[in-house]
Amino acid sequence: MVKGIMRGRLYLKIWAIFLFLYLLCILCILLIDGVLGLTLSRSFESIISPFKVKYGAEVITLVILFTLWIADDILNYVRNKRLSKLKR
Amino acid sequence: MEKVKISSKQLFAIIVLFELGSSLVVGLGVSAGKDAWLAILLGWIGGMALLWVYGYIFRQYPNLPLTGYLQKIMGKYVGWIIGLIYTIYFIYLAARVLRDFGELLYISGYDLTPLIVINCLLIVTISYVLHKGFEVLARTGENLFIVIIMTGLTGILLVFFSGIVDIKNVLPILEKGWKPVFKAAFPVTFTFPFGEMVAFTMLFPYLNNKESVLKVSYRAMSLSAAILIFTTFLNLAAVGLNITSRSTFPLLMTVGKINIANFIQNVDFISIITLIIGGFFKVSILFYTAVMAAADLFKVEKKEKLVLPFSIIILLLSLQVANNLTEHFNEGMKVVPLYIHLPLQTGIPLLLVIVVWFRKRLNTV
Repeated sequence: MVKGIMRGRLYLKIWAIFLFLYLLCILCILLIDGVLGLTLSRSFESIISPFKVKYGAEVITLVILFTLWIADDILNYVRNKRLSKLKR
Repeated sequence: MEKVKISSKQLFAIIVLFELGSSLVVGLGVSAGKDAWLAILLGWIGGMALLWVYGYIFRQYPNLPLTGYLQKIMGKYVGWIIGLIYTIYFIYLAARVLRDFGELLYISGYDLTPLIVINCLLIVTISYVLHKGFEVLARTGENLFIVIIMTGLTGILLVFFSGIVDIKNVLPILEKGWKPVFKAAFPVTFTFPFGEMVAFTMLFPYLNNKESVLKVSYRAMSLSAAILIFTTFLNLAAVGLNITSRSTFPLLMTVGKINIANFIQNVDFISIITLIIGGFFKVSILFYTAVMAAADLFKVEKKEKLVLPFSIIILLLSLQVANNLTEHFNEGMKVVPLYIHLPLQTGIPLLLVIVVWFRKRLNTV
């Protein structure tokens, strides 16, 4: 129970850091665009619509990569569990 | 403190790959005209001085990363805020380099693939490696360093054998005097790529072999400068100043001109492999330093938990950083070196050295 709460807090903290840093980075981009002499509306153009994705073989490759990553993590988790059981 | 067990050879390899990264792609110092290679030489001298500055602070606090000794020297709150600025700087740089390589691939062969897909594939691979730890990255670097050297040598030999190199294209040296050379060297070639060694101030304290760290760094920086000077010289000699200064990626132009007996042609893959490996390492190291800095500032014990969120930030920023390639390069050559690189690579480290020196004199360190 305590472990679960701690893990939940860690994830909340990580996503708070993510949002905080992301917003600061966006601010940094706006400032740099301003120094370059771009108008705010032009800067917001790329910030608001970064996605122009078309579906293709690349997306499938990406899904395969993500699946491999998750599968590897699951395998590691199972292996560690078995090892800790054997140690006991 | 968690130690990363990487050998001197591995450190040497990753520094060289980091320095070559995106600087091989863009025409470095071309604003100096035919003397671009001299601008890189001057930038390297400045870079070596800068590395001495980083080394001086590292020797005072050998167990602390940049974000750690910033808080010791500048005070808890001011140091924390400057540390946060460095974290954003590393993320921003990683995003810029990712964009460089996305654009390179887009132009060189994936013109029908959206930029986000190319960047996504790169960042997923990088975050997978970083999730496994820095030692994995270092071992990969050691192996890929050999690949880079072999492909680089093959490329150089092919360029020479195809007879496109004309030394007259590089002569006369210093046609317009030293002024344009200095203008190109400071701040551009001095800050990019040599000043970017500031990222390694986050890594040095975690290495197990601290005595050799600076020595290895000096050597690696010198080798990468030699490679950059030679490549720029070759680009100018092979395709001339006119094309080098106008093309987006001059190295691709040079390699694209290789033609031996109408049989060996279209060997662009040689330069693409070299560039992808370099880019992979540059983004990886900047990404990792950002993760380390954030983990230190926000007291996150499990660093690997930050890899996924940071990969999302870097991916999105790489697309949001500019509307198009021209804007991206304009920012990279005009705004970033002067307003971002200079204060963060030179200004703050110099300030730290001055504060440490004065404190030492007053015996308060």
